Amino acid sequence: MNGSWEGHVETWQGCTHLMDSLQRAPLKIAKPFARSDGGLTIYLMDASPGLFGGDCQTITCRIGDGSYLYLTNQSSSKIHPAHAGEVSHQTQTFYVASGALFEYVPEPLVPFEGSLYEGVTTLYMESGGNAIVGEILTPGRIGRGEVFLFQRLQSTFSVYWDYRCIVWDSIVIEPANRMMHLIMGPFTHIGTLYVLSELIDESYIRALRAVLESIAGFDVYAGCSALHQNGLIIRMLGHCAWRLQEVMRICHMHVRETLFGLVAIDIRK
Amino acid sequence: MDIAMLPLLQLADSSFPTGAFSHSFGLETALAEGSVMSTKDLQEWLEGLIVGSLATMEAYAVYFSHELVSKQAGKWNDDLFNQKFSASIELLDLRMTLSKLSKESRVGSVKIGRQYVRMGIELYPDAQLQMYDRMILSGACWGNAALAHGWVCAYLSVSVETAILTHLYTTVNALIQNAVRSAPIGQTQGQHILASLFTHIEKVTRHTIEQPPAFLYFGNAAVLHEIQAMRHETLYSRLFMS
Repeated sequence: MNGSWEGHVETWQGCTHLMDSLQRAPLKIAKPFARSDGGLTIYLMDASPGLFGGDCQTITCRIGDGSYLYLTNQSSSKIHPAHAGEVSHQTQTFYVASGALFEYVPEPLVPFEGSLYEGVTTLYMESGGNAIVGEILTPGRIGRGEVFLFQRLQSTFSVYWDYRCIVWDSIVIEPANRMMHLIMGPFTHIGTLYVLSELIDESYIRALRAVLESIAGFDVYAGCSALHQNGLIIRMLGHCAWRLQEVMRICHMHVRETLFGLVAIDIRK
Repeated sequence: MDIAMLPLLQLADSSFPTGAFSHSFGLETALAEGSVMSTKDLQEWLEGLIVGSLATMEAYAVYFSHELVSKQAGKWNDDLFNQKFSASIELLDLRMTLSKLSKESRVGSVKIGRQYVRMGIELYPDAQLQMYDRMILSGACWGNAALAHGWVCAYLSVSVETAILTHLYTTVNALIQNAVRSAPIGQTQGQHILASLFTHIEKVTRHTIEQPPAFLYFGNAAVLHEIQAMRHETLYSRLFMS
């Protein structure tokens, strides 16, 4: 099945509105929530058990000048076994205009035993645009002992700033070919938070590192570094999804407050 | 006798001045934080780097660069070929550089790459590496050692297999030498570790040649090493630049 959602948000009279929305089952969105800070929160909903082999899900959104959009989904992206060897595809493309803030923190990706997944996320940023994007990759349904039993997982994240590529991050995990403890140590989950903004400099990264270091008790091993231009990355390893989500949420809200002067928000699920 | 044996020994020598001896690519963090404390730990750390990063990035870059330059041989004066060739090299260089998400590793890789290009031009002025150098100077490319090594090896008519083997050997050997300099690991132990990794290096090389990916279809999996490289930026005591 090829579910898709194509959205376009713009600012009008100080508030962000959903101007266009085109969806194809099983993907759809819930009624958007207008926040008190003028921004908009949209929940993506997948009316299917997840992505099966050969499925292709496409998410596209244009975030207009000065618009604030927080996009998320209801539950984890479940990648089902590729019985016929067909790959499950997910293509996410976002266009972020000047003065806009795009926040995208979907629930973790859960690749089932035998699954094949290829995810491509691309952001096209205009000068003055801002974005915070998070991603969590799990090893499978660990509650039932399904740890690194998928066939292959590739997640590619790239950013073009005024049409010049400045970020290219491609994680490829093939558990059968690699002894996982060699590349992930004792950890099983990978978390990544990208912050893209022209406001970021080395002193801001130092300050954020201090915040990251101060977060104790989550057993998360993390590092933070400057991207080639206009941004930073926080990469984390952990033992379970909720701990990574919590560390990511603390960092995300800190950035929201200190870089953009916005209050922390509580996204209910 | 293999006519390129002596040039290869020179390129793969740890004294070949690329500046690799100044970079640990996260190993210094692993040593400082105590996750690498013994020869067994160091061997596993390097194995992780080989299967998670060198196999899926560096080996592919050497492979593609060698292939592109080999196809280009004899057509250096053809503008159309040069345009296509330059576009492919630009993409390869871009992805090899940007895939290093730790700033210090990215900057270190570029420094080593540029130095390799400079040395390549000095030693082999007919290898056309000047074209890569011009692309670096114009800002179209950053500079990458794997790419430059594949290029020089293609010029020397060295097989792609040997080109990959020597590049992986050089990278691993440089890291072992750095570990010997900064940790309580002796030269003899270092040589044992290097020898024990030969089978991994050979396996990766074989796999790259037998099942090459589509052009630019590669990625990184050494997440632990990547985070250690990021954490190196704030290490209290540092011998290396990355």
